[in-house]
Amino acid sequence: MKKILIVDDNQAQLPLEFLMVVGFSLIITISLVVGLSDSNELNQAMTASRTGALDGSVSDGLAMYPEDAFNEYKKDHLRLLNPSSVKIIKIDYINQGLSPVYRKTKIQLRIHASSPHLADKSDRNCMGDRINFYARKKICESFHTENLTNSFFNPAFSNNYVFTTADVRWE
Amino acid sequence: MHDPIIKDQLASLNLDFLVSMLFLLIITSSIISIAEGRLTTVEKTEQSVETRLISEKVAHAIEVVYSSGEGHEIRIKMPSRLKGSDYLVKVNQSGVLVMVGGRRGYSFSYMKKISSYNTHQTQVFMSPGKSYIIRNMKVNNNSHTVAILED
Repeated sequence: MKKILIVDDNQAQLPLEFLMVVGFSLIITISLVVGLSDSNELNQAMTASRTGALDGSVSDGLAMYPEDAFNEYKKDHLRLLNPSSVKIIKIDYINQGLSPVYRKTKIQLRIHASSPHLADKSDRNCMGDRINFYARKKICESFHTENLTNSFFNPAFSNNYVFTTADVRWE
Repeated sequence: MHDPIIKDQLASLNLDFLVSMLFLLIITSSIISIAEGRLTTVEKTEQSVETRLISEKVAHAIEVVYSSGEGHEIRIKMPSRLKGSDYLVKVNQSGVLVMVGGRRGYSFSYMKKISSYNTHQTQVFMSPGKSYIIRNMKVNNNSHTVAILED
């Protein structure tokens, strides 16, 4: 069978151009991949923190607590044993730069929540601590780093980031 | 024999397909991990809601029986499991406590005498899958007690 050549390329200019295009593409792709994987990791951590914060708000809202917290609230925060409305509004983060201790980029999460019927400050602190706890816990579970941190999951680790939480801001 | 609709001797279509599949896989894997986390949260939420419903239902039944006077009774069928987990309900004079999967929920009720019908204990345990009758009974002429007996 006779093949038809579309272009005469005796000096092999086309392969050379092809190699150059491939070379540039590789350089651009590699540099993009590094940035993209970092962004993807941060995105995954933020999604995990949101899921965890939802867990915490459900626990607070339905007043379903682990045994030790339940016993503590029974003594000092009786109001928290009743259900209440808790809503997660948004989660912000602040990049605090490279942590010299952990040699990872340090990210501080700040969760904004609302609970219009709960006025007492100490009750709100307890609820906020629970929301923060579940947010950090979910990050550790998402990256399988539970064994790297303490029982409060503070700080929470991913591969390239270390996460802490600021007090929940009630709005 | 059929003629091919598209001639693709350089297999550029196959290459396009592979690249598309690669991107699809990357996107799908990240979505699956997010969806998995959310599904776990939904399951836990469902269990917490059912637990809260049980505790409120029992507490409400006790209030209604107590306020309705002597002889009034309500029958309650306890679910066999809460989203696949065993649970236990404890009733005493101040409220109803539900324990499931290491977590606890509590419903307060107005202080009143609670007793088991047979053993006259002031603290009654209600087990999964069983039916109970909650009855208002008169004791010592003037006072009332809410008796819980297994049906």
